[in-house]
Amino acid sequence: MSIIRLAWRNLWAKPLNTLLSLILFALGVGLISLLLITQDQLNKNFEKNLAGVNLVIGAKGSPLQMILSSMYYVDAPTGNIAVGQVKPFFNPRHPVVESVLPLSMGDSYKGYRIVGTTHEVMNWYNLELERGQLFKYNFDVTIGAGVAKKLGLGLGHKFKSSHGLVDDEGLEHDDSQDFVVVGVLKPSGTVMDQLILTTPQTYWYIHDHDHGEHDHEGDEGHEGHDHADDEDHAHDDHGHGDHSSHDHSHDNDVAVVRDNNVVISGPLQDEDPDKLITNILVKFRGNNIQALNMQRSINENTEMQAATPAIEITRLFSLMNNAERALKMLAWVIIIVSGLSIFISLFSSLRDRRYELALVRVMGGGRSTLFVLILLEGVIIAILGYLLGMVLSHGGMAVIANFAAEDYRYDFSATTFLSDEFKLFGAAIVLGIVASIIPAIQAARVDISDTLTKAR
Amino acid sequence: MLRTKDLSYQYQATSENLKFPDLDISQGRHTLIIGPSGCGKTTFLHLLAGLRSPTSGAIHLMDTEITAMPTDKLDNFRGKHIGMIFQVPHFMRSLNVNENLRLAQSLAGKPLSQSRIDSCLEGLNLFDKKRKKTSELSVGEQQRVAIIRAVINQPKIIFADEPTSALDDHNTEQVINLLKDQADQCQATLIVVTHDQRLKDNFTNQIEL
Repeated sequence: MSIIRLAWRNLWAKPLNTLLSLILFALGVGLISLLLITQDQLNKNFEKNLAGVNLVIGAKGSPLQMILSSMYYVDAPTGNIAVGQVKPFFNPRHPVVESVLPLSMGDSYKGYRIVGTTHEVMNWYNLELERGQLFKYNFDVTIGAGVAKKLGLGLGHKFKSSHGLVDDEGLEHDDSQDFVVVGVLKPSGTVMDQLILTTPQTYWYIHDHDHGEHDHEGDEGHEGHDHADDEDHAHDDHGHGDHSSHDHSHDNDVAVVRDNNVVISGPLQDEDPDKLITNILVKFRGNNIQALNMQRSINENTEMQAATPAIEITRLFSLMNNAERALKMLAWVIIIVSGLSIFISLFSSLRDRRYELALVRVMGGGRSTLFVLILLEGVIIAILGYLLGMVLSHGGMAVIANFAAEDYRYDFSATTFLSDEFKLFGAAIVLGIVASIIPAIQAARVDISDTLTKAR
Repeated sequence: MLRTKDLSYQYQATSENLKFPDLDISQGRHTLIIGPSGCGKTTFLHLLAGLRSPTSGAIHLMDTEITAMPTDKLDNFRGKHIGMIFQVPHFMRSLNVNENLRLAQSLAGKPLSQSRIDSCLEGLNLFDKKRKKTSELSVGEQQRVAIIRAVINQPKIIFADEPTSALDDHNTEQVINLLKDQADQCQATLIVVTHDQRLKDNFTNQIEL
């Protein structure tokens, strides 16, 4: 019968007091730990998805919203910009811009965003193909690993997109063509895992079909141009039909069969300058004055806005900091209250247990034995409370991760433990000791003879 | 075995200074210390067991001057060599009978011996109560467990404070015989402090306070 076991038994001899202290402790620790891991995971996610982007250019509006929508796919885009407005940046000899990545957004499939972009995206986000190939024809899609897994999509699967970024059957583009999955990406840990990638031109086809019938002011010249395109490339399409079935021969998925009228579009900068895209992401050749001026000049002299991701994210974090600080304070208050609850329950139990404590001395235990006994009772609650808190926070994180992946296209991990959480363990032990040290000293001071005489 | 000299105790500077007779009790000579209520019997017993330090005087127990020992050493010495029985038996409420006895062994720094516990429990017909909480036992059973706890570490001396005052004649006879038996079995000297005149016939060696 060791002292630890005695302490353990004493705790559970008063299960309600012990549970109260334990739950309070666990709530405090759990909340702090949850804040720590959320902050860490947000930082990591934001960093992972920075992808070396120096500047984002898009329609005027909130710069933070533009960054969030174009790089993290959480908010709605600010609007669209015309290809003609950003054409200069596509010039490979541009003095400031090293490369650009165009993004077209607005449609989704079952809540997963469809993004029109170029093959450059592979280099920007270090992506690799798991199977199949990259989107090449319009309406070809290469899907992120998360999308493939969650929706059970494989090569050759077809679907129609919905207008807007939420899953809504009513907004489905019934009359547009089917998208066809031609490739699946390997998991990259970036937001790309949760996206459906296609060509920017695909968006124009969906929306031309949509609005062609309703919009009488629709530019007929452009429509004609698009259709001409269709016919121009009709042969290409047939030529590649063989290719896709060939691709299939070493894949296990369904054969990739495209509609007859899809085409391969040329480079974006050769397209009609009035056609719309949503954003371009820009990488600079180096951070020089010209680059800084470029942002200002876009903001002052054009209908577009340019924003720096790092600055906007820092702004976002500073906004979140206040809320986080308030929550952390609340968590510490809960922990301190739990420490108080440990103290009170130990202290009041001393009175009931004076005779037992004297007995320990009679049976050969010293003052130090009593001191350690009471201290252990406090520390055991602290350790159990800490462990329970960890289960709460990481279990909570697992739940959050589940819906964050769906709603925010975020990849959260519930099994990452931080060094701060080990520090929290240290703090928990210290609190357990602080809460029980006064009762422990009281216990060590118990006068055996007086106690035994009075307790009759 | 147990010798005292000029023992006195004063609770407060203003209160009466209690003086106690000198004792010289040899090994195995069970002794009854008898006196009326309020004459300081319990104080005397607590002094002898080292639970309280005397204002003056010295106590020698097994050739060790316990009045000169530091507290922690004294606690340890008590655990190893002294068995104690009180008027009302008290136990660790969170532990069962068996665990209470194991605790007595481990606090005395003795190796745990389940066979010793089992044979003691069997000897006093308590083996089937082994896993019971002490609060589930009758008062008589509790007193027997307390006796086992006092002898579990085979002490050299057993102090009993009013062990029979709450019991009827029949139980008194039983408990006192049990105490003497158990003391004899582990060759311990039994010192009983009481005001219970019924015990007078059971002890040849008596000291009046």
